[in-house]
Amino acid sequence: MATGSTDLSPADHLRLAREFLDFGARLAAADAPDETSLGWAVTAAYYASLHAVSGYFLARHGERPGSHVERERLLHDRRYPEFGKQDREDYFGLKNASERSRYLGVPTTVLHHTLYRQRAERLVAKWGDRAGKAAS
Amino acid sequence: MLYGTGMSATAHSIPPPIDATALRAALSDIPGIDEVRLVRGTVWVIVDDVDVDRDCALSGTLAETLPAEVEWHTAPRSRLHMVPDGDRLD
Repeated sequence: MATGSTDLSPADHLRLAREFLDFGARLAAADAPDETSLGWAVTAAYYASLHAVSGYFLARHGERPGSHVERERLLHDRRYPEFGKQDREDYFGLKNASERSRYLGVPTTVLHHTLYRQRAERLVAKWGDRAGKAAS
Repeated sequence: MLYGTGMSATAHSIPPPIDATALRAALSDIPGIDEVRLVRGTVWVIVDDVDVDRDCALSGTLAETLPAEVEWHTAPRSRLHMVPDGDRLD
């Protein structure tokens, strides 16, 4: 079993996706959110996206990636052409922004957070909806 | 062809190859790239500043061009001093 593999159900993944989006919104909702809080809000948005995508691949294809590398292979897998260029730009853009904030302390502005959150909301809405339909 | 030894590789695995020519071609149309650097198997792309749309396009291109096992990061010019030395790929 690959490190990090879990027994989460599609519903569990979708619940976590929504919870992480809500958590990120709370981090960014302060009157004057600081750059560190906004950076972690982007990280929450990335993990919300990760869970939405994971929920979809589990519900629709029975795939349960056990690591970031395994999940990212699925996003390029020719068996799953429904995951397109825009989806990859959103997903990997969020991952990159999260790592850049945590590893290098690159400041996250209100505008940056707003733009990244829009991408996360798009991913969660699209793949969460498809996961829900596949699971029902 | 360059071979990486990124953090994802184990002591017993063969480092995934990096096609520097393909990487250069893939990045050629993306504006604002100062430098592309290979540091112990990890690809670092130094950009002029943070630009969300450009950085998302860059991230999608890196993920599509490099093997999934190869780590990659981007850093704005203001954080260049935090990026280790390595071999230039650009």
